[in-house]
Amino acid sequence: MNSAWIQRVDDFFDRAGDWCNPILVKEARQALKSRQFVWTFGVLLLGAWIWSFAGILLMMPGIYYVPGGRAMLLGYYWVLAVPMMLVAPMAANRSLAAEREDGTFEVLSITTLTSYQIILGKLASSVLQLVIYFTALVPCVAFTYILRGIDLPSIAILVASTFLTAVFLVIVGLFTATIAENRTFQSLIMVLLLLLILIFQYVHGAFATNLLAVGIRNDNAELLVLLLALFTIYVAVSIFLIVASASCISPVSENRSTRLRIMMLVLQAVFLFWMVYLIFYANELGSGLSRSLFNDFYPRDATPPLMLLFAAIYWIVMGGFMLGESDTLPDRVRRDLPKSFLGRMLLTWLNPGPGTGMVFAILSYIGFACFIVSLTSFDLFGRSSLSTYMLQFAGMLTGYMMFYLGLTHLLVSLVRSKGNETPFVSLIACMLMMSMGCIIPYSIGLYWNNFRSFNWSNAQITNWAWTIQEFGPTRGTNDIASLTLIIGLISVATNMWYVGRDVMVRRISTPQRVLEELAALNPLPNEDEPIDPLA
Amino acid sequence: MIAYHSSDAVIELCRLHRNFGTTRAVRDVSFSVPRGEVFGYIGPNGAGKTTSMRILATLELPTLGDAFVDGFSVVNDPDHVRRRLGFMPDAFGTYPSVNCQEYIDFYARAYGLAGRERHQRVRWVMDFTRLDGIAEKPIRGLSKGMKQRLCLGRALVHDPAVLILDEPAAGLDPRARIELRRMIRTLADEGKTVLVSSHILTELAEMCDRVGIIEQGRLLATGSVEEIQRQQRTHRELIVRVIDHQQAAVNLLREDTHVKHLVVDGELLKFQYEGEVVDQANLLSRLLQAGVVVAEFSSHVRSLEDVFMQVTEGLVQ
Repeated sequence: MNSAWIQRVDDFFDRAGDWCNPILVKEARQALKSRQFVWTFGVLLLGAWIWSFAGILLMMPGIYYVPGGRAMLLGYYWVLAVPMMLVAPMAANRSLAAEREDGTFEVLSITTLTSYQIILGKLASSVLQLVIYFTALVPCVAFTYILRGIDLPSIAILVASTFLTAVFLVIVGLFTATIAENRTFQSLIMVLLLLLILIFQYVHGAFATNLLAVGIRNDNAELLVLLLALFTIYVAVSIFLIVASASCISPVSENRSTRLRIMMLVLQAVFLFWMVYLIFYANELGSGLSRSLFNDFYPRDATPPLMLLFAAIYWIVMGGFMLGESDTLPDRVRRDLPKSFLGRMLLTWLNPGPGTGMVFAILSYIGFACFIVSLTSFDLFGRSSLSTYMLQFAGMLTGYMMFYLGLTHLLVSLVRSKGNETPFVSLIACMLMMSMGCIIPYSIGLYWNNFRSFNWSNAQITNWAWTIQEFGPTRGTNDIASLTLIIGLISVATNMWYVGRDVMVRRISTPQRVLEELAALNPLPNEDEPIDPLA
Repeated sequence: MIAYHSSDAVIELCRLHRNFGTTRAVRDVSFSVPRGEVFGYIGPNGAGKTTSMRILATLELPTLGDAFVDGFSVVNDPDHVRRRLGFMPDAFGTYPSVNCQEYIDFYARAYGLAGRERHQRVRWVMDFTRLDGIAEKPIRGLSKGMKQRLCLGRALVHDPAVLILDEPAAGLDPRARIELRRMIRTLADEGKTVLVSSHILTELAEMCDRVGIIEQGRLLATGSVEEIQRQQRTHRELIVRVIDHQQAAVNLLREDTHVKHLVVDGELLKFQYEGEVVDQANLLSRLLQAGVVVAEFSSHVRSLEDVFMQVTEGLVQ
């Protein structure tokens, strides 16, 4: 009787396992047996016990009449922060990097698992570890509430933010493992990852200390809005990194770019929404945090140009990556290209390829700039006179973006071998171009003026740093904006052959053999047979 | 893209090229393997065997040309290829801390097998590869032979139509090699198409229906061992054991225009014979008529190793 019951439970979990991601099942078996997990879990428990005893002893005898929950929770926070925010992300990074080093990733990649399943499986197994770490400390957290001095919302925010930060760092850890293809680069990435983790730990630690010291007021609606904003940005960035990680490990024959481009737009939309919302919120309703962020720290007039500048940096970086995409569209991707005229006109820019990538980055930025300029034109930021300068500033930034992306695209297209993918090389090339664009004319100007200071002239037009400083958002001129737009257009025009080649790629039909296979794998219901609604 | 492929070939390489920088690892390689055949892929180190196999396994992309598995292009439809392909690379890709059963079970899940089907396949693989006795043993404690069987099991778990085995017998003891050979032959008899590379040519000669010899990225010869021998050879090596009247035999052989490079080694007369089989029969008849006492008249059977040495030049890139 007893063994039959156990067998039924076993069968249930076995069936449940069929619904789980295979990587999660494997990682759970592998990771939970690993020394790293056992040691981390052991040290976590030991740390929690030690702090429980030490904290209570330190607070004696006041613990009976002075609320001590905050101090105890802060201690538990640090005990939990190390495995969750340091060990788990590094372990996630190593887990994926080791698969590549040991050759197991190759074997894995020729199974029917998709790259998303692999990344999400790794993420899920890390989240499972985080949950186990956290569960071990739940009694301790409950104990702090009994000690008084800490409210439930503060505990909830602390726990949730710690967990979400840890999950984010795990995602970053996985992403960094996918981009590092050789050991040297991997070592560098590990150092950068560690640095990033320590920065996050510091920032989150400061937030946690502040939260526990001050607590939150029940009527602080502004903080809730800010948290909501942070959460949506967090979700968008996390999904972006997951999509980017999956793209990095996808086979070359697959479309690795379109989803990423959509996520770039989503990120921009989320950023735009919250910036605009918080500016209005600070103007009309806000006080405290949002006012200090968007009114006091940056004067209200400076916020829209800053948004334009941030967006320009964002799209130049994204454009730099996209310029490194393969110039050969695989047949597999060509089977799914838009067919209709409207589809080709609107969706071609989402197709993989450096030419479409360049145009996509420029068009996206222009769209963003138009939106911001429209808002200033309708006096929504408070000063209508700003809109003329804004238009000129947006034009100048667009011109620079076109110029440098165009130049980099031309260089990368001429240098690289056919079909190669070099996203990081093209980004570095773009950054180099931008640096050279400043250094060369400035050096010539210095030499020409016998190494004495000199004024800005049209010869410095490629020197974007000086030009933006000289003719910033409040001192723009039509001439400068026009000039930058002209050099930008010339730069893009020199790429027309390459862009045309990317754009002119037509859809091809799917081979009959593949259609048959797909039909066999996903059979359609027989139309003649009545459908049983309960079947 | 190369669009053609014949329907009866399960594996087909069409004018395949793969360059790594200036190194041309695979140059214009084309061959096909029909269903149920064991095809041996032989060549010196660095000849391009592993690269070709990795292209077939969808781990590398060809620089030019295409390869097809059961009619699906490895370039354009790698996911369809993977469903019907089991690949066993030369290096073990294993997870040391999991046990054999868990390892096979994981790959069964990774290939989308679920429920009873998964259990049945895992059980079959454990039984076929004779791993059931060590099912609970962690992989880190396995010998090389056991690991090879485990990797073969992993490649078989989704019941693929095509098996690509890169150096499966490397480093195995004689017993393990014989077992592996039997397993491969059994799989071929069940209708699976096997592409296998090995340095141990005697193994391949016994196991393979046909072989392909590759050197410096070029496919030099394909066919059965006998066919390649026939392709490569313009003469036979004959050995005559003469007990008496050896000088008469030598004189007679020297007069025959088909006889080249005659060597007298005690009772043995060794020479290359360029004539047809009928001429060979006439020669024996003439020797006997001349009173030569012939104890043995044989043609030296050349092994795959001989053919390999003749076809290849031992050049590396």
